[in-house]
Amino acid sequence: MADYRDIADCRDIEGALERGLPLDGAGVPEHLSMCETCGALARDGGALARALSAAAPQVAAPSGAGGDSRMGLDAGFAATLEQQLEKERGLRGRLRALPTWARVATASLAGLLLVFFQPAREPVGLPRPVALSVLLVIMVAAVALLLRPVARAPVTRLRTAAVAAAALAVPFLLALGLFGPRPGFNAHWGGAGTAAACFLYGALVAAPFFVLLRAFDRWERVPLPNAVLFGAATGVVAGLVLELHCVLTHPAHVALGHATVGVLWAAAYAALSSRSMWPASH
Amino acid sequence: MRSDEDLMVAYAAGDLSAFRELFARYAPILLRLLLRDLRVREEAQDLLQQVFLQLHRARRDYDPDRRVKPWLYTIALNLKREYFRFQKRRPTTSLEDTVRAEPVDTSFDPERADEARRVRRALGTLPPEQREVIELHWFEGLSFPEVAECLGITVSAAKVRAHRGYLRLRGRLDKADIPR
Repeated sequence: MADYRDIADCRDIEGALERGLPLDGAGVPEHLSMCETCGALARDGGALARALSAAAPQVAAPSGAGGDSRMGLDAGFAATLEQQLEKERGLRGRLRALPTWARVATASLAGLLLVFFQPAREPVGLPRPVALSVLLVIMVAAVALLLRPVARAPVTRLRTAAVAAAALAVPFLLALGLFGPRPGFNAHWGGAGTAAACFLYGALVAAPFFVLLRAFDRWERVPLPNAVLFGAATGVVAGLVLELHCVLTHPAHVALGHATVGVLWAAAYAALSSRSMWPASH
Repeated sequence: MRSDEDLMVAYAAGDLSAFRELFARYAPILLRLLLRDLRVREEAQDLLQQVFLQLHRARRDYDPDRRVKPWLYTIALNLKREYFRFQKRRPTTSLEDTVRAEPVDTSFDPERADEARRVRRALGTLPPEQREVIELHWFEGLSFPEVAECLGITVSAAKVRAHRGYLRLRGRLDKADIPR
């Protein structure tokens, strides 16, 4: 049992207050003068600490994993959970259960492979290094955010939304030539048909990246900002592919044929996921 | 008896009985945590199922140097938060539901029970971020560093929230507007 004559930290103070013991240890006055939290609890002889202790719920004793009335769980709860766990033995279950570093590294590597190895279209020259770096950084940041484990402290939705906004906006900034022109490339508009061809190519070529990301994701129902980010990240991969493999640099072509891929993916997946229900076991 | 941390390491290595033991230890505690904010028992059970599914999926992420309890609480709180976003309604404590949901103390003391009800009712009126810290610290027995870890805030922020919550709680309990 703790010697309350030596109390000096919050736990000891709380324990003493709960038990109605006098706070006369050597370190107490100094602790109370410095710790406002304990100070608030210690007022009026620790009445609040005792009230909180009285309100602490009693927990049922540990029991077996079967349905148990003491737990307040339905009789079939454990059986349903076992069934759910059984489903996790498939390929997706195994991918989801990989350590987070492996999921992030594999998804990022897959994105890079898609970007740099396009047998259907050869690279058309040196890309703009700043543009390429910015898009790659956004892609990896998006992957890391999307595959962040639920067991870690939450990331604000604002941060997720900011990365998604950057992923959607940067391809349009590329179209406006923010990261510098690509000299020697064809600056003709190319027509709506060419833009549509690039759009289709980008949207399809980035699809495996989307599928892989979703396979690694552990959420049952994807939160809305994450859904937008899934689509936006897919658009970034498409944007990288097109940046490296398309010869047209006219702003209208890049905006319509390249940058809109992410917008479409994000809008489509956000709409789809917002219609999904919260997973229920019964 | 094996520690939670030993069980989690064993489970990550493929020992299913370790998962069952963790389930037996934590299902009642986590259900109680979830039932504080969810009015419908079935919803709380669905979330509880999700918590253990996430535990299963995250088993290889587990760091043996960390305690299992705050790790599980983080999963439960994140899922609960997301669930309320999905439902687009703010968590509200229903005293009747809470009392009904939680196992009854067999050493029944009417005066103590009355006081407990009053405190819980007052707690239910606190801002969620203050209430969450107080509940995790007092009712769930997490230290301030563990509470901070669960909520993704600094230890000093957790203490500030607790301090403000205590002051507000005292004020509410002193007032006559919290009936016995």
